[in-house]
Amino acid sequence: MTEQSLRTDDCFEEVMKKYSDLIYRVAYMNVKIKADADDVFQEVWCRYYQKNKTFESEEHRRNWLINVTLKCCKKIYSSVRYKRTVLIEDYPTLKEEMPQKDYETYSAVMSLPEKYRIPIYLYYYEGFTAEEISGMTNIKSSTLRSQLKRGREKLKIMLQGDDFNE
Amino acid sequence: MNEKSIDIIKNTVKPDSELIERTLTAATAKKKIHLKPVLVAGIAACLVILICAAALPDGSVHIPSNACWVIDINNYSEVAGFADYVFIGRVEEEKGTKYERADIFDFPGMPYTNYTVTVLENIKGSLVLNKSVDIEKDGDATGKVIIAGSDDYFPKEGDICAFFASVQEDGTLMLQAHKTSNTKLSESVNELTEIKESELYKEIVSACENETPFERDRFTPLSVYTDGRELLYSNLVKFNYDEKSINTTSAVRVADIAAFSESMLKECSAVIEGKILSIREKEYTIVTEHDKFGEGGTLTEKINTLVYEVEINKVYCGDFTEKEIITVEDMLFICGTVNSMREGHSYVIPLCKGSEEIMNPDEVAIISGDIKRESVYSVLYPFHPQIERVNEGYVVVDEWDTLVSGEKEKITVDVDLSESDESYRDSMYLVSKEVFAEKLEEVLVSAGLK
Repeated sequence: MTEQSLRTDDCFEEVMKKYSDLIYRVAYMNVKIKADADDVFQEVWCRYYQKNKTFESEEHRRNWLINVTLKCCKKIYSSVRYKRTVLIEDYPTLKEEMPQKDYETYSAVMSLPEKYRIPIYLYYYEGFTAEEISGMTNIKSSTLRSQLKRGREKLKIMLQGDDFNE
Repeated sequence: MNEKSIDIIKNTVKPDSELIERTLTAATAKKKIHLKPVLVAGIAACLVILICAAALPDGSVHIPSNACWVIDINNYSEVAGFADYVFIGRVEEEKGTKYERADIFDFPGMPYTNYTVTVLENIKGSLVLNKSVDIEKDGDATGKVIIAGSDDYFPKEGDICAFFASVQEDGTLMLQAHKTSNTKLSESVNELTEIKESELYKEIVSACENETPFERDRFTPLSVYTDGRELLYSNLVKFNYDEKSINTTSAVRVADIAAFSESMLKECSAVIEGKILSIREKEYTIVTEHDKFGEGGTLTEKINTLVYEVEINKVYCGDFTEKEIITVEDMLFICGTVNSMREGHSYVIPLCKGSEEIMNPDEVAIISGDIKRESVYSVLYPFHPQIERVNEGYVVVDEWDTLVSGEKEKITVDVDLSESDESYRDSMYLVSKEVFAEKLEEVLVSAGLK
C-alpha cells in the first residue's frame, strides 16, 4: 500500500486541479443551484485538506471525494433548513448550445428524484460503471442497477416514450 | 445524448477561477469562508440569518436576525405540514446546548439545544409510545445566544408538549418552528386525559388533520423506535462502513472452537463495560528450534495479535476500576462487520487473564524473538460479537441464553456480512438497560463471579 501525505499545498493543488471540474459537476447536478454548488465545492475541498487522509489508490481518492460531495449536498438541504430546492437555469448557454433533444433529456435527468438522478448522471454523463458508482455511493451494485433501471423508466415516461439507453 | 452535448455540459458546468482561488485559500487556511447566501428571490424564501453578533454586558450574545420563513411558524396547520412527526411527549432531560458552524456565524456559532423526550401519543406519524427519542431544537436554552424576535420557549424537564419534529438528512429529529414546535400543554403526565380535552390539544389535532402540505425532501428517521419499521442493526450501532476496520494480514489458523455457553464465564477474571479507544494489530516474530529441518534447524513463526486499548466505564466484576485504561490482547480473533469491535464504540467484555508469554517456553525451545505479550488480558470468547452498548440498551447475540431470556426486541441485521458473520443475521437482540443489568447479575452469580 502506498501511503501519500496530502499535507502539502503543491499536492493539494494538483489533486484539486484534477478533480475540481468533476466535483463541481456532481455537486451542481445534485443541488441544482450554482450558489449551493459553490458552497459544496468549497466544503469538500476544506474537508479533503483538513482530513489529510491516506488513500490506497487514485480510485479510492476519487470515490472518497465524490462520496463526500454527495454528503455535503445533503448537508446543504438541512443547513438552510427551510429552503426549497428549485431548478434555476444558472447556465443558459447549455440550452443555446445543446441540441434541443439532448437539452430536454438533461433537464429531465436533473428533475429526477435524487436516488435516480445521481446514478443516472454518473453513469450516462460521467461515464462511470455501475461498480464504480457503487464504490462512490456505498450503494450495493444490485441496488444501483435497479435504480438505473427505474431511473431510465421514469425518464422514458418524462420524455414521452423516447428511450434512454445511451 | 451524444458525446458533443456531454462535452458542452463539462465545459460549461465548472467552478470559476474565483471560486477555485477562494477555496484554495480557505482550505489551506483551514477555515471556511462562507460564500454569498443563497437567495432565491420570488421563488422560495430562504432562511437567511445575517448575523452581527454583539456581546452584551451580561455575557450573552445578542443576534439580530433577519429570518424569513417559507411557512408561517405561528400557524399549526403550516407547521404540521412541514413536520414529519407531531406527537405529545414528556421532556425527560435537557441535554445542553451546542454551537455549530462557528466558522460561518460569528462566535459562538448557531445554537442547538438537545432533549430526550418520551412519546406519549402520536398525532402525525407514528413513533413507538412510551419510548424516548432524542430531539434537537434550534436555539439556546441557556440564554447565552438570544435570537432577536424569536419569542421562543425552551421546554423544561417534566413538561408535556406537542412536538412538531422534522427528520434531518442524518435521521435526527429537529424542532425548527420556535415555540410552536414545542407547544407546552402541561407539566404532569397524569393530566394526559385532561390534556386531550383541552381546546389547545383539539386545535393541534385539527391542524394536523387539515395540514397545509409542504413539498420538501423527506428523510428516513434514525430513531430505532419508529413504528412499522424493523429494528435495524445499522441504526442501533450507528454502523458506518467508512469507520476504521481491522485490516489484518494474519494467516488463517485452524482451531477447534467450542460453542459459547455462559458457563465459560467461570474462566473469567473480570467483566467490564468499556469504550474501545484504539485497535491495532501487532506482529511477533519468534525463532524456535525445530528438528523437522534437521539438526540445528529452526522455525521462524510470525504471530499476529489484536491489541485493544479500552477505557473502563463500568466494572461488573474483577479488580479493575472505572476510568482505568487497560490493554487487551487477543491471540485469536475473527474479522467481520458484526464480529469486530470498533473504535469509539462501547462493549461489555468478559476478560480472561492468561500467561505473560505468547508461547510457552517450557514446550518450545526459543532461540530469538520477544515472547512477552503486551497484555495478559484477552477477550473470553472472541468468536462471537461482543455485547455492544447502544443508546437504547445492549445488542446481545442469542448465545447468551440468560441475557436474552427476558424482554427483548429482535434486531434485523441489515449490513453486508462477511462469511464469518452470516450466522448472526437472525440472532441479535436488543435488551434494555434495566433487563440487561438484572440478567447479567444472574449470569455472574451463576458463574461464581459474584
